Amino acid sequence: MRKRSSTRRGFLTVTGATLLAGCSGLDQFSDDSDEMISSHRLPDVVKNGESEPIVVDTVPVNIERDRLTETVQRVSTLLGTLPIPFGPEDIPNGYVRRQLVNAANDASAHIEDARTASNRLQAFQSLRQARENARYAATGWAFVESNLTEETVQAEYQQAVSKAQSFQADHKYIGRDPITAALVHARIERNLDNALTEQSPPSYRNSGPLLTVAEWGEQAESTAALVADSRYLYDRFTSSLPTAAGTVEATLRTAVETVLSDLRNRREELPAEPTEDNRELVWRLRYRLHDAAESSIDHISQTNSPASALLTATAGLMNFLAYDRLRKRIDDGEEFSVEDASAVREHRSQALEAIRTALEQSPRPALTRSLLADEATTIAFADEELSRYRGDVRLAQLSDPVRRYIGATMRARSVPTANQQMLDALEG
Amino acid sequence: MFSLFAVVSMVPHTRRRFLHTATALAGGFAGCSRLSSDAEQPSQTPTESTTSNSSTSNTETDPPTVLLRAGSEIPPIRVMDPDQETTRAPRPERFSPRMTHELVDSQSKGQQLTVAGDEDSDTVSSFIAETDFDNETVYLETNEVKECFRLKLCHISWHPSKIETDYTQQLRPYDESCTVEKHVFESRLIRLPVALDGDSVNSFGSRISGSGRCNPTSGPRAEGSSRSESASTTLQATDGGEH
Repeated sequence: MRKRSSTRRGFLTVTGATLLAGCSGLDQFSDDSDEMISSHRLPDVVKNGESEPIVVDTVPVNIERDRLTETVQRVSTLLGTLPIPFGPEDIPNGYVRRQLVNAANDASAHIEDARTASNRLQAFQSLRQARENARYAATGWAFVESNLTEETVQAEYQQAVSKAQSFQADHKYIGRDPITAALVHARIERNLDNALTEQSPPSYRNSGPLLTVAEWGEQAESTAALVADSRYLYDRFTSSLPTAAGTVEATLRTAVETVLSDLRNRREELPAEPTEDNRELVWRLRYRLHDAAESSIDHISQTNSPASALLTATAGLMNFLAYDRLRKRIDDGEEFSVEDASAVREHRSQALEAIRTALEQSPRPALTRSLLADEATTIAFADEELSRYRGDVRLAQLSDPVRRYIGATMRARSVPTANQQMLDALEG
Repeated sequence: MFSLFAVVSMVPHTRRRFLHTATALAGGFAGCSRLSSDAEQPSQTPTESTTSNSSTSNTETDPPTVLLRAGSEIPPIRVMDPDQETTRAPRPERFSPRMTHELVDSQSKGQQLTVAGDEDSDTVSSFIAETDFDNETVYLETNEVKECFRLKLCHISWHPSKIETDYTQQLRPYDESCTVEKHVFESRLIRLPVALDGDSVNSFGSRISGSGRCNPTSGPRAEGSSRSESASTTLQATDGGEH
């Protein structure tokens, strides 16, 4: 758990900081696989309840430090509207007061996250969350201080939605290199999708009028920030291109169709998996990787946005290759049994190594970084699962984290080939 | 044997949604030391009862009610035990110590009620005195609720052998003072338009949802079944104690 200050001083001191690091030591892989100091002889790799992924996503846009600083200023301005101290005389209802204080402290924590982020995209995203939280607190207080109404904030939200819709309608897939363009445009697509997904009122309405207004404020800020961040990425990226750069949309769509057709053919060749419920690790691995491969087809075909579809198609290639790889291992006699703690450690080490190697061996690492970031997150999740075990642990209890390690290994080892196959599809 | 229904809200995923959500059964009895100053005005407006689909079960959404709320160690409305000559709290349920109940089926039983606070005592006495026990019954139910929230009765349903209540938990206004960690008791005297026999009613149930709104489509549970909804989980337990 992230350590958070519970005091007003906590969120004020953090927002006063403007020094944003970010960006040092990308891809600093930590390998503590030689350590086995857990009381249960399991990998003890979790710090403060969280395990950090060894690869995180990025975007091929030079996000300026000034842009990050501006967002910090926005957060600071929002939090600066809150009274000092913020106590029962301001909001007597302790529950309501705590919601606003928690949001303010979360905003500060996200700014701290941004300061220590491993790259500027991560900082960019953390600061967006900081804006949302800060706005929640500020809007809630404005309900008290200046009689801010739900209708006013809703109207602001609707304006932000309109901007998102306009942007989405006018979105042109400017670019020269299709992979670089896809990475930028996919992030814009995702942002706009997120901005337009939650058009309904806040789902939880047992809030009372103050917190309902605060929720609307958060939603308005979130939507506006998603649009603004998308516009920023778009403008930064397109301005970096030669003036004659065309669009890559047709190239992306053609490549996706090529891969989709290929995967549909491969799906026909997939062996049927047993349907009975079997708790054995190897069966569950087969089932899950088979399911991931099969469902990739639907995921790709349902993704209408061309840039996101290209990334989804690359993931589909990876999933099919991972399943093939697993079957081959099983056919070769691999049982994936876990007989002692050292096997857990070994599976984890293999997963981490597979990610490192995949990043090095991929012909276009940028294309595969997001896939590998997902696998790194899977490993971190398994790490945290292991960290929750106390006392004696039955081996059967380890099957979930071990399955995640092995699944991540299979997928990561498939990434370079998937990367190459996508390049082939792009080249037609 | 009597069955006991209690409800806990599922833990939601996000921070604020977690905090928003009803935690009706979280935590033990709070060690409250004083009577709350925000006891609500008695609600005694009778309304038409609505009959459920079951021919032997009736429901009301806004029955004549006296509600007292207190942050003390004991519920604001209790029953005096004449044999022990002491005031006792309603019987704590084995599986749900935060919900207690009593059926008041006579004026003499009504005389056993004791109330914390003289003004409220008069209100309760009047309510009992105005009850026609030949045709009506008073149901006393006490629930524990976090101080910053309050319960809204969505409906009460009855059957010759069973009474069930359905509440939703609502956040109190921002300008009402309360502490997050504290709990209070809400005791309700609810007048039912039916003369029930206290010895025959042996099943009691209470549901508390965290949605803040009463679901207009929800009705009383069918006999022998439990109802679930998206925001809540229904727990069912049985108790072999007499009642």
